[in-house]
Amino acid sequence: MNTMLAAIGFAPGWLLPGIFALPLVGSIAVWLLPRAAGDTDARLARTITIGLLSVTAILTLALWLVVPNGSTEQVDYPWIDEFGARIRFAATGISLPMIVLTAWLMLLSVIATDRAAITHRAVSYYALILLLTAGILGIFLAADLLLFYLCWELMLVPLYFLIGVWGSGRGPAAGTTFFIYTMLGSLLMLVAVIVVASAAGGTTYDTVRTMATNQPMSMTAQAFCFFAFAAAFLVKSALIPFHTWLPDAQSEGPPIAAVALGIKVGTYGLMVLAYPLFPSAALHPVTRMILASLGVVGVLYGSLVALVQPDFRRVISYASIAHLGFVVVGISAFTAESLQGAVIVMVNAGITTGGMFLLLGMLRKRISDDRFQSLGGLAKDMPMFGALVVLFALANAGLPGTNGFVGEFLVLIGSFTHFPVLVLLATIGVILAAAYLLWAVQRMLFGQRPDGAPVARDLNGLEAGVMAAFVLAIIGLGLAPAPVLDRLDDSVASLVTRVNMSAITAPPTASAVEDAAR
Amino acid sequence: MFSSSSASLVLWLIPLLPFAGFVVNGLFSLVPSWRGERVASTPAGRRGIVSLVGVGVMVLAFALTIALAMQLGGDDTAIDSTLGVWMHAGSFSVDWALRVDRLSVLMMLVITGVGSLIHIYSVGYMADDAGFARYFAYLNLFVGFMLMLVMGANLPVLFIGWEGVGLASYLLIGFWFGDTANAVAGKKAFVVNRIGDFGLLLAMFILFANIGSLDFAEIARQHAVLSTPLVTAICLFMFLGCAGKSAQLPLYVWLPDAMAGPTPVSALIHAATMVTAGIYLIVRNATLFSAAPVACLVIVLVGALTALWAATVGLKQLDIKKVLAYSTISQLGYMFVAVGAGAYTAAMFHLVTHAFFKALLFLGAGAVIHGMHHALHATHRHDDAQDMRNMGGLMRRMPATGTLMWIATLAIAGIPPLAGFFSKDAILSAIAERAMESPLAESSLGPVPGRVVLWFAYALAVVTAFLTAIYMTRLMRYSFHGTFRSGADVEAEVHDAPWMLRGPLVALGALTLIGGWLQLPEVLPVGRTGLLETWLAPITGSATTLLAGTGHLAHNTEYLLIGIAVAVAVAGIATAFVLLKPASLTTKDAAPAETGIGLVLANDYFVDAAIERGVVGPTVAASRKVLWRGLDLGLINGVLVQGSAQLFRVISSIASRAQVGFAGSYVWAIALGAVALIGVFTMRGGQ
Repeated sequence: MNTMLAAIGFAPGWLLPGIFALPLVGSIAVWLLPRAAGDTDARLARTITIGLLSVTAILTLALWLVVPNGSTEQVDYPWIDEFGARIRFAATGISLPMIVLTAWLMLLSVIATDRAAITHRAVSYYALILLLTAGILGIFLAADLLLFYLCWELMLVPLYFLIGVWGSGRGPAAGTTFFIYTMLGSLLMLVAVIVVASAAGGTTYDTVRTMATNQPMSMTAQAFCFFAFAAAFLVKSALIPFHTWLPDAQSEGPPIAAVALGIKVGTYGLMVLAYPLFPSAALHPVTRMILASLGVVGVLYGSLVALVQPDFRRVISYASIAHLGFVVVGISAFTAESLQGAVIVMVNAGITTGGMFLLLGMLRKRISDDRFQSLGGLAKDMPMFGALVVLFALANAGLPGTNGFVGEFLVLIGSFTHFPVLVLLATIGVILAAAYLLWAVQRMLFGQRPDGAPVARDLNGLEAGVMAAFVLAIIGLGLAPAPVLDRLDDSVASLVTRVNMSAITAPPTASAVEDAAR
Repeated sequence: MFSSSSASLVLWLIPLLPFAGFVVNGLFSLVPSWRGERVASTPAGRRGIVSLVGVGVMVLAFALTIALAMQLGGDDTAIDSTLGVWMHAGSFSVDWALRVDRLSVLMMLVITGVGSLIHIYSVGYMADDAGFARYFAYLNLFVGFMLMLVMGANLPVLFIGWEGVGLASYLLIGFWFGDTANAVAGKKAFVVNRIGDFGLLLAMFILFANIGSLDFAEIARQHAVLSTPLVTAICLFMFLGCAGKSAQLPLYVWLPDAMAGPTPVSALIHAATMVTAGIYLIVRNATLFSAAPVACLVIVLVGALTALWAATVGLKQLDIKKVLAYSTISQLGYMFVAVGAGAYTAAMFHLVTHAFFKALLFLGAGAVIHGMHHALHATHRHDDAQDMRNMGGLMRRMPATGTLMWIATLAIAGIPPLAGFFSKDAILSAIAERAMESPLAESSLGPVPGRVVLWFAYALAVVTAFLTAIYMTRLMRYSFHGTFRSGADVEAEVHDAPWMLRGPLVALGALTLIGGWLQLPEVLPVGRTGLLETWLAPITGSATTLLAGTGHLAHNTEYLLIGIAVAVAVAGIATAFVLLKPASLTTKDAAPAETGIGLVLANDYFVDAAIERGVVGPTVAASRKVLWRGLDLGLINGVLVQGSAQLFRVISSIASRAQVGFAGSYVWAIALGAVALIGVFTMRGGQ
């Protein structure tokens, strides 16, 4: 398959920049569309967006196929010589699953949200979605710190507007909270990027990682930079206690914003940037213990708060906060098993959480008041919807045979040797997950519809088709995760080796780094 | 019989058949909604196809299982098949691997055999239900997972089945989800089972961390490298899982509520198969458990206490299914006493005979409920069709069902020569034997010698046998004898089970009569003795020896033990006949409330209320008031976030002196970043 693709001209050389450029250029093109009042411009913008995202999604699959397991492909263009910054894209074992996930998730989200749902400023809406897609893909594709940072900010702006303008009544407030949190994190990261760049004399991942291995920064500098990076990444991932923006943003924003927020760019950055760049700080026992404890607190706290939410969207938001806890535990244990598990949990966050938000968006088109107190008995009117909700809830709760189990199991079994007690506590989250999800399922689907409620229509063909793709992913990854795990094997193994090797070379004193910087 | 490749195919085909049935019938169940039909029952044509698929896959799987069993009766001890890698990461790897040996095939025979009968019964029982296709889809799904559970060659594959049967159980308990109480019962079952699964997960983590594999064969081979405290911890965590799935103290609370599901479900899942998974897991890991005598004594103790606890509660239940539910918990307790004491053959023996007679009792109860329901419906009454106070004298209207249920009642009470007599005697004798002399008796549980624990368990088991005879005789007398209490008009409408229901009852009745011949004791050689022991010897033989030693009871002692068991059973039945006064019963609506100890037993010692008030209520309240409203909304959102938002606004309003808006603070944020950036560069330049 891969040789066949290569033979007809599919090569990483143009796929890597192409996947980033296509939605970016498309966004500008859509933005420039005529904005006549009426329906036609929305129709055209939507058609173009779906077309471009389809091509992007197919290209990501092609990239998956032409990049062999265990190898890293990159392309490189000059950019800002003064900073040693280059426009460099790469596909690694860890980024590829996220790239494919992002492209397909954005495509399916646009298809799932039907045209009628976007009633005002449709052209801007679709332009922003393309920009958002470019931003997220850029984060995973980038192999240069400055480019990464640029894409990081690129993701922020369209999300803010999507939540604020196309969200519910309280959307603007939710958008503001979201912005404050993530901007704060970004600023910290920017400072750290500058410190690292100036110490390394360049911003490409190769340059900064070489610096981290050969001339590591002083412990103090590492500690500061690791803190700055970790803060930015973890705020963005909504780790306790920086998590309250997420439920607001996910439940007040449009479904597609909720889906995009489910793509775990933060923990990706933590894994591929913060750990390799500041290994001594990252693997310091104190850091490990703090992060792992935060993760476990996240699992338990998120689960308990999920129990008492007034609607299903907020339950899922808090569930994803709990799942993030598993990712953080897995990363802080930093074993091959736990890291591979963490990536799978991140992928699942996109599939299961994203799919659930789309599903709940479909419900909201039918029933505007979707608080539990106004629901009940939907399984009778909407058996297909009901079956899907149950499946997604169980995948979320980590039922074996679904994707959810593979991720959580690998994280826990891989972290157990490092943190036996914390893993024991985190495993309690498995019990709580069943409780909050099945309680939510019961209040939404079972019992009787409220008096006088009209019959709710079950999913239509298009909606069922979109959800079928998610079902395939949930069951497929649950029963046969090996292709993704194979893909992760070498990248994760070399990451673990590199970070551990660098961490044991004692960091020099502060003055040595300053000498080097001079 | 099979070549190795075809054996491999057969192995995978057996669980895949019911899974395929699930997919087909699951799609059928969506047809009405897809077509926009709103019907009260499934059309006969569609029902025919659904039954054919649902029952067909079961019968096929049963036939294939028989073929496998014949293969394993010869020289083959096990048939393996590995499809490929399921999960791997770092040094961790788990295969899609099945392994069928004589233990799993025994379970498979029960699952597909009794399962087939219950599927056939369901065709009649569920005929009028609008969810006919959905019902068979779930039932097939259950069987598929149950087969995975007993066929998996490693713990994670077993765990797919383990949680999968929990899922099917959840769906079937809440099958009539229009009534919220049923849905709540389903949820409770799943969540309580998850508490057990937590233990099973931790057992897996410890095993992998110490021996690097989760394969049953590897665990059995390498367990010697584990220290005793570690083995004990693993076994106790595993037992927590078993206590959840097999409804033992204190995790049994979900099983009585599970009776909300259709009655054939109670027979298949909550009596014959799923709830015995815990027994299977321990027998499967017998080698591991035999290295942890402390854990074994804990299991003996929990099993014995559960047996007695549930039997006392069973004395005061009035819902016919609830009596059987507590009876099941109690009988499972017996099986745990046996596995704890290393009497693996006795445990499996009782597991099999219990599957026969308890399925018979449940299906019989189903026929009663079916008959009562139709009669009440025909007379436009809304009384409870499951409450024994509304019954009475049913023997006259339902002689076939009544006779078959009496056979099962005598079996569970332990009257020879029925199946239950032999299997219960096997357990009682085994405990007594081990209490007299065995390595297990020499070990100790904390300060208590193993001998004391075993004698205590024996005493509880004998008392439980007495109570069992009482509550079962009570059930029969209240429902089948005396006068019918709901009125002559209703009585005239009660009919015995139609043949679709009666056929499976007769088959199970026959199995209850002859099941004892599976494992005849040496002292009662009315046929070939010890068949099951010989069959299982390759799997459990050495572990049994490790815990029980090689000593044998003197024949006189054995006769004495049998005598005690039979005397207790007869005494129980006699007591029930003397003490109970069915004539004084009135219908449910007219009945006075229970008082005193009766009230406590009827409400299962108020355990549910205590859990609700002591655990669930406070957790939900604290989560809502402290964590969510207090910390999330109050402190973090209210004080910190709003505070900083306010700060931003103030700064930006000073800066722009014009519009106070969010765009302003954004610009400000960028500017701040630029300042920080310049600052750092300046500092660097200054050095």
